[in-house]
Amino acid sequence: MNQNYITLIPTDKFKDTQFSIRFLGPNREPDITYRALLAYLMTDRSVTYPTKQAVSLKTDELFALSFDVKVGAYGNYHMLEYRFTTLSERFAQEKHLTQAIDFALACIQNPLITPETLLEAKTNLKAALQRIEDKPNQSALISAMRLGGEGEPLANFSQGRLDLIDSITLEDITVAHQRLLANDPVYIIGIGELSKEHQAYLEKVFTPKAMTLPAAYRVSTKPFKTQETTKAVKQTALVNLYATHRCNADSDYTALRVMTYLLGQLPNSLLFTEIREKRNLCYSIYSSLVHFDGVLTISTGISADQIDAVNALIEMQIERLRTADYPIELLESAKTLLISNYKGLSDDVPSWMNVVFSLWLNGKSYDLSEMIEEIAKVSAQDIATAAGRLVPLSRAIVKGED
Amino acid sequence: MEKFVDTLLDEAIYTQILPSGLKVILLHKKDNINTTAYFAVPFGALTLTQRLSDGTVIQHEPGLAHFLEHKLFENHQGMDVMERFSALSCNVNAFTSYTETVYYFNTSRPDVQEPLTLLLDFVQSLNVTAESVEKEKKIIIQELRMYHQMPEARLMYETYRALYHNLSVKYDIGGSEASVTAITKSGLETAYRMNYHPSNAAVVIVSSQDPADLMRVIESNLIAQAKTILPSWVNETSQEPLTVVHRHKHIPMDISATKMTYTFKLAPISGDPIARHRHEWALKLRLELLFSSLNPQYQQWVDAGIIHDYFGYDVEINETYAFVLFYGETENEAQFTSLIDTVLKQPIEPLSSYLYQLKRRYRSFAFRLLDDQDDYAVHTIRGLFTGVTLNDSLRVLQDMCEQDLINAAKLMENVPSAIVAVTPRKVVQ
Repeated sequence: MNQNYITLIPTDKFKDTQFSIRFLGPNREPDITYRALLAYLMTDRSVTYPTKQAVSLKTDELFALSFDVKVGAYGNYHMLEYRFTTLSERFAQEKHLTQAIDFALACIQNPLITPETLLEAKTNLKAALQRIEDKPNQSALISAMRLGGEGEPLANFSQGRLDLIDSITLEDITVAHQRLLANDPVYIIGIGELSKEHQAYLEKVFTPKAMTLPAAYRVSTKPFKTQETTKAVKQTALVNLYATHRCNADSDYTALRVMTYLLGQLPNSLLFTEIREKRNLCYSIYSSLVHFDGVLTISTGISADQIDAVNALIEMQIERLRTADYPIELLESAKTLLISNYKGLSDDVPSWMNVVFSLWLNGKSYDLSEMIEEIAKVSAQDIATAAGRLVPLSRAIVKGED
Repeated sequence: MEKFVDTLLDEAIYTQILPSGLKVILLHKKDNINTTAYFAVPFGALTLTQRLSDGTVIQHEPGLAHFLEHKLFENHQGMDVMERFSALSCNVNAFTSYTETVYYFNTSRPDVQEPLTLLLDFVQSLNVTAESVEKEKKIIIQELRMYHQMPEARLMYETYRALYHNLSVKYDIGGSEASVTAITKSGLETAYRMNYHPSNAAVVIVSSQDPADLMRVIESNLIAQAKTILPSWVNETSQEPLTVVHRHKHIPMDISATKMTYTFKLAPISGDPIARHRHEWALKLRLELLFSSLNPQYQQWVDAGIIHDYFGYDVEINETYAFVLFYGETENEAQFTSLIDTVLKQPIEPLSSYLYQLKRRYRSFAFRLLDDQDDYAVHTIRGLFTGVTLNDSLRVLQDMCEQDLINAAKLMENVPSAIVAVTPRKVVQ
């Protein structure tokens, strides 16, 4: 499965060259929290560059090499991504890209894992998780996923769990790191001034490993659950979560993408028009897909006394999609805008990388004309069918005081 | 149309000033698929008082520039502007900062004549009714509440309020619920007439399309030949004492960790913008040497639990206000401020050998900025309005020497400071 694990796209369009190295591990706890800590450790210091100052000196020498290690979820897999950006050699006027790759490898393969560095990583991760929890909209989203995805990967928050951090030992992290290097399927994408030599160099370091599960799955339908908490803030955060019964490995998934645009991703989407523009009940309301889990979310911030009214309006908009009760021009503009955004994707390296990676996870390759053709084919009937499959799974409300 | 090829940055830039006074800058990116076009006016949240040549003083409500941004999208010649852009395969949006308001669209469509014309057209007319103004207030108040409950945004807002007695930077960009409620149709129309004239505005486009074609579209638009005379006015700035409003302020919030700022209120620097920018660079580089991981002591501060990865600093020096701000997450603010005070007194000389590499770092960052259409365009717009271009900035950086960094310390001598924290409710007595 997915043997072409290194994709290098040579281009002189950008001033920088960017790489993303992605490791796919089990999407379950406590592995997720181990990997979230590993991300901090890989960002901090390595055996080769054992102090923060040594890391800074090296990255400056490599023309402001910027690197970041992040974790995220892709359905059945938890991803740890090492991403770095460095100035293209034609502007640097030095051959430094292989050195930049070596620097990344030093961070990935030999992060400095000591009691002190682990303690620091724990402090940073705790603070980051608290920051997320302190934001009502993010807190509501996490709760909705936990409720609606119970017993499935969706329920796991990809950034880790606060309550697990203190009990994690140095040995846990050392073993987790060894497992990541030995077992995780890896995917690498580079975009910029690259050559076959870089490909060969990476192939020597990383060998292909088969994925044991498909990444994408469809979350199962469960009894509807709600959770309401209160917070001493003025605005209420509301998140509704729906099973779509389709994930992005399905052949008819494009209709769901277009439906989501129509519902709540455009400034003239149904949710935006009816709830914000006509009734002035919110500033922000949008729908989005969790592609690898088969889930759609609708998020907004409103006054507490409007919760029922807004929920009723949300359901009305979904019903309009089911019955094709909207101007056909809206469908056409959603399709043309989605096509336009895909066409322009290659101007934005991080987005381009994400799309190519998502396709790879599902055993597909990047074919712009095919993607455009699929969008163009979507009909009002396809939208109605996709909307007809939506089943409410959960609702999370962080209730404000007004 | 003038063409300028930047050999250092490998960029081609075309500029022209139209008869109406509209400034146009085309940033030609030959390999890009998308075209992004921006219409900008130097009218942001800071501009609250404007004096006409006859002496009349126009006082705008805080948040008015942002309100105007919302309302310009409404009903252009009977059509919904956002809907029209969507139908043209364009993403459209706008933002208001303290110093400017910017409207923009982006698209991958090969022919941008229609959306570009639409952008130029819809910003040339304000069509509001008293009823639509009232309706918008509800939306904006929800927007203000959204930002107000974000701990980071709230911390910055409270920091400005602690620093400034009179300057309009003490208000949120969107204003307050009270000031938004007080905004009227006529107030919006007055501000629009005064600040949205082409002679006061700029169009910046990042595109691979033929610059001559793009320029023709702009020139053929009414905006090129606008005949109306811009009322003559000057922005007025309130007198601001060199003291802070609150030396110490705690804001209870329903959060789990305390966030704080420790801010030094500097004297603003008027006059030559490049000279001002030189001061800003010198201070930034000085702080980068002292407070980043280039300083070997940095790890000790982390190990002692005084800072963690949510720590940073910011320097802003402009004509009307200036400050140096440190931020972090800590329950022990005395330890945090003591660290800042101690390190600020340290000599820069032991670290100044790293100045060369800092220059190399920021030069590389400048190249990076050019790969992002939005960053490149917004930087260009601000460069136009402030008089400091990216090239100016790089030249200033290149010329920086150790002595500049030593001298920069004087900007922070004997200046007042403020400590502001957003704290979990339970900590507050």
